[in-house]
Amino acid sequence: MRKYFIMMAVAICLGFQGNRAGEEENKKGAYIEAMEIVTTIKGNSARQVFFQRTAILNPKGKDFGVLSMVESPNIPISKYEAFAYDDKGTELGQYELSDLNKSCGFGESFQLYSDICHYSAQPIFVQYPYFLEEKAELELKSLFFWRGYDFQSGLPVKKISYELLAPLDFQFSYKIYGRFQEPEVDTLGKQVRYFWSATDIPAEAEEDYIADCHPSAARIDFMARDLSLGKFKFSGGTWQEVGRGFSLLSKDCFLKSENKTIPGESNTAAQISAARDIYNQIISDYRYVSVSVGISGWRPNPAALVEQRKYGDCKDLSILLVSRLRQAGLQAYPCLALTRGDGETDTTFPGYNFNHVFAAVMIDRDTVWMDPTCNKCPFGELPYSDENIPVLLMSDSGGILVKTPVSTPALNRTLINSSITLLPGGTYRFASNIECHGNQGNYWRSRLTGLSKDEIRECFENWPLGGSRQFKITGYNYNRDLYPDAPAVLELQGTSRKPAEHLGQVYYINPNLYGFGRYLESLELNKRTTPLDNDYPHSRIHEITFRWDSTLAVDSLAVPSDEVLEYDFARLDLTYSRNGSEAKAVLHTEMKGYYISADKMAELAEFRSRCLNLLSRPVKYFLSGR
Amino acid sequence: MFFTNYSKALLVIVLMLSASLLAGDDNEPKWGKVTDAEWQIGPPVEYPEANAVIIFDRGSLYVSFDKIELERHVRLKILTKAGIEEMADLGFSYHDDDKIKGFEAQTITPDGKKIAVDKKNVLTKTSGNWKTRTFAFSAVDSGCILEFKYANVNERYHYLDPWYFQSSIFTMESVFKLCLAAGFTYSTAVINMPAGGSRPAVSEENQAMGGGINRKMIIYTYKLNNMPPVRNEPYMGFPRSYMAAMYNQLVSAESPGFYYSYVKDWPGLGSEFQDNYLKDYLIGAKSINALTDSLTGVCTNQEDKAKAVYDYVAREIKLNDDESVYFSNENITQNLTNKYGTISDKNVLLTEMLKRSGLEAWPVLIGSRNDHIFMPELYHLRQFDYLITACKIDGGFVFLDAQSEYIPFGILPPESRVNGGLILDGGKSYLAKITYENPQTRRYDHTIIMLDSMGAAACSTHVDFQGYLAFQFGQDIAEEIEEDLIKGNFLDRLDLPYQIAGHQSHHETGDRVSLDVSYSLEGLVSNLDNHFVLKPVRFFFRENPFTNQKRFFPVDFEYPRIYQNHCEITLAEGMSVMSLPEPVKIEIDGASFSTQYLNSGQSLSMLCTLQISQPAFPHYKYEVLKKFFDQVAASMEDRVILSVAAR
Repeated sequence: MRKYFIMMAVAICLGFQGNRAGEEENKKGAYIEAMEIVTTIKGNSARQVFFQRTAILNPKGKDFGVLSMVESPNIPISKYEAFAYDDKGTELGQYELSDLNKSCGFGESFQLYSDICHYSAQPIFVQYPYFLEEKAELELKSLFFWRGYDFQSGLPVKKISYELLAPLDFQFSYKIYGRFQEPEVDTLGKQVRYFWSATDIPAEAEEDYIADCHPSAARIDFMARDLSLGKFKFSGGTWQEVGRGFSLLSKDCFLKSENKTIPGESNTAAQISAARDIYNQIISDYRYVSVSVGISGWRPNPAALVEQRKYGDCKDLSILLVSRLRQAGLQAYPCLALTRGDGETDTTFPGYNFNHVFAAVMIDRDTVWMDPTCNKCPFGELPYSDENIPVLLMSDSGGILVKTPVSTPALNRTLINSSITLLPGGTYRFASNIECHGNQGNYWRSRLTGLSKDEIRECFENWPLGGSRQFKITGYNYNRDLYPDAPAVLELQGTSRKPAEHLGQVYYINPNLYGFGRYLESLELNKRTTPLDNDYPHSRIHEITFRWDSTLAVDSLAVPSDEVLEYDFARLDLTYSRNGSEAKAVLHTEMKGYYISADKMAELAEFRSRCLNLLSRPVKYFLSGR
Repeated sequence: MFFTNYSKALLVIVLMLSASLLAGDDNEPKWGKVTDAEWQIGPPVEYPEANAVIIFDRGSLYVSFDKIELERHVRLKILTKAGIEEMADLGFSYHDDDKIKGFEAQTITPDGKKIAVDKKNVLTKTSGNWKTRTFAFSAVDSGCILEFKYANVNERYHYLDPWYFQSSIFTMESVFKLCLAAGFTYSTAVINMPAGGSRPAVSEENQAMGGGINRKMIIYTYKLNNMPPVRNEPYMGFPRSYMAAMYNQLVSAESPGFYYSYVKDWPGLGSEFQDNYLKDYLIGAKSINALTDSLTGVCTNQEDKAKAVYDYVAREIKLNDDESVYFSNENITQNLTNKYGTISDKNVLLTEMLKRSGLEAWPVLIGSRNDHIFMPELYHLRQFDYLITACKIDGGFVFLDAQSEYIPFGILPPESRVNGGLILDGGKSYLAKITYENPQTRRYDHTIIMLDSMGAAACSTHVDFQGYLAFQFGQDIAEEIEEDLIKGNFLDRLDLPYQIAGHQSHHETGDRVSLDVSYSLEGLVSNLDNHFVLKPVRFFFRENPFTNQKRFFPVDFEYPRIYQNHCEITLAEGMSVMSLPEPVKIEIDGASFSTQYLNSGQSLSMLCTLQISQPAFPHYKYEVLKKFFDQVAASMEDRVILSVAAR
């Protein structure tokens, strides 16, 4: 299971006041007039009241006019009411929870089952604008579930507030992000009232590939100093304490460490070999299945049970892996993580907001990272979603915040060796041997798994630039081993469907067979306001040998000039050579980091433009008889 | 259930069989007993890429006077590691009121070890009136056999669950037994059954009832083998419409002194629907008289009247797309006040207004083409989900559906293009074939490109949608952000960097919608020594949508259509056309494609036309169709070479 914690995503949509709608609101067809949360702390539990008012201005906004609530046994809904009004304030509809469609058991897409229930309804009215008001009261059974809230959504919000009512001696910490200001604080008898507010929160940018580092415009995080979850006591405040709390949850779940034989204690190779065998066995024999019911969303199943079932979620498989590693005498620990793509852990604010668990083993003062849910990852390689993020390693003494390894373009390299042969009639054939390392290898292993024969063929056909409309694929192959420690190796052969472009007896062949950064090709960069997520640093070295069919009389070949483009975030290095009856091109492209900051978009657009021009400069074949 | 009291008394009833009794040849597999042959199963010859197969899916539906019980036993084999992820977590759905009994699931490893599914992880999801039991098999590996069984006990005598002989997984054997207690009669409708598949083996069986009493059951066994998977592919209807399936309906039950009919005839069902849904809904319908008069007062003939009313309802009453109810308004007056209703709300209003204008009109029940199959053999209203209108104009019938302002009078929206429906006329209700016209459905993309001397392209595209394409695009443009729509449907498809300068959509009259967008493109032209190479700009069918080598069911384009793409390019001074691509002309039964290139001075014109004149292509024509679209896509690689005068 990827989601270690269920985040209560209370997607409530309401609004107000058509006459205040600006350009953005009208374009979206809706905006949120007010979002308010009032939380009252009582012992280890809390009562939370959500209020939201949304204005639906025109038909484009009607999909934002959804009444929606989520509840779980840990966070039940105790009261709910919603209303619809027209712009004169006349009530158009009134809704109770029982009026909403209910579905239970459906968690995240990767989950087989989750004990949450979703409620939703979409009241639609023909006269615009109309307004939806939603008020819900939730019971947080434990302060473990009191995390805070991100007020930025797909709609602009006029006014937001978060009110906290807590006993005088209640200890907690908070952190505000974006437009929130420090709170107003009042003492009301035995309670203290904290009040945070902000106005005019813009809608989330609707851009593709937004990097996690892009901050929220209005978020607030909380953490109670002391809390309990079932019989387990947590003490917040430091990462060490957070880790200790989680350690308690999993304490009884490990296999008994009967066998403490250390595989050649001073023999690093033997220890690595033992760890590799254990990891490979788990990713080969165990499958990922996530069932989240009650505390099992946070507490792993006993490793012995996981052994019987041969499946488990991330924490189940990690506890089993750590158990086996410990049985082998290795020093191994589970690690809590918020994976890339789901947000960024603020290392300055200890909290419980993790969604994944994997493992680390210490060998010869080095850390070897393993994610047993990634059955396509070779030993020692994490999936890219686990890379370069802060994680909480659950050591014997509590949590230790560490960072997972940063990858490099060289680790995630694709090495392509191609030959291109000009054929009689001007068509040409190509043959490529493609070696994908690191995340690139994981990508291909994952992508090709479970596909039908047709889907695999289609995948290969679409790979070269122009796909099947430009090339007839005559052959393809790949190493079908799903759990290799070796790179993914793919082979592809094809013939152009049409003759290469030619002027008289000169034939021009574009060496850029596989394009460049497909995700970049049509991305609108000039208006972009958010950092661009590159997934991970990566590189490609494409060596191409240009030849011709022996029946052709080719006088000579001409190649473009060498070029180098160097930017902070990327590099292009093109070298060409001729050698008798052959020409060679080496096209080396590299994206250096995990993301490109928003202020670099103009440079990125320039780089893309120059790259596309330079990469497509043709190699020329001069045939006899000019 | 009131039948319970009669159940024992009915034992003596012998059902008259029209067919001869055939001995069942079916050897019932036993739970957990895997045969050697099953262990030897590998990928099917017909579908060698299968990661898993259903060895058998067997269902026995017992219908007796006290309950209906479906006993199901499914056995699968995992053939590859990928098959584990595909098949090891399963589930089945059932109605909220049904009881699931005797559920068991287990993994059988190649060494014969049996591992039962952990009961803790047998869980039930709920959504509306449906539940899904979901479970994860333990200790699964490639080569394992998985099986599960359960019984669904219910009292849904009026609606027996259909049986699908196919699924998204290759099915080696699917067996359905309908076991009727003596006294029951049933009718059946089959679809997509291979030749001979719909003729059952018939046998009799005495079922022990306890107390020494036996009850005779008549058993009809249907068996199909080696059924290919039905998966989502381009240009298809909903997957179940392609699966071999059997829909059963109990007709009656009788015993001495007792007769109960489960079905009504179509007139009876029509009356029932009108009594239950329309009678109260039409109270106050007189309020529409004045409106109707004002709309039709100046009309001099029947067609003009009908058209005036249709246009009003299509345009002025906005559509509520809630498909879960027939009517979103309590009555027709409320509908008229709200000016907002479901398809049925709109079409009932249309029918009543037509009547008040002096025309003969009736509501017609149909089932959407998107998720219903019309089966006249089955007498139940579940196969319908909304109402359209039948109107008699100048002696002929016209079917109307005023759901959208983008659908002109006389044309049915794509989802209403169905085979048949039930014309509601009280006790005279009857089934009718739905007839419809094919509107001129066309898309014309006209792109003007100005090339400057450096090869930069300033473009403007005007897209004209007509007919059903206007209906589809018109709805999108009303509900989505225009710029997002332009990016997703047009510019992103070019795989070139672009910058939008402006855009505007227009809803022309009736079934015409158009769009204008101006933009600049980078990389449209590439440099070849002192020449430029120019690619055509085309947004539709850039790729062949048909990528699978084989198709097991027909291709369904729904309606005939024409796409045209016209690029007019103005060359910069000093540029001239050096070579043009060869024109293309391809024709197959039901479709044609052509390209033309013309050059005159500084202007260059590229025109391509794709016509699909036949909406449906049988599966055996798939190869021809696939090749046709290969050529259509390949024309995207046509290049114009421009020479540039030395500067």
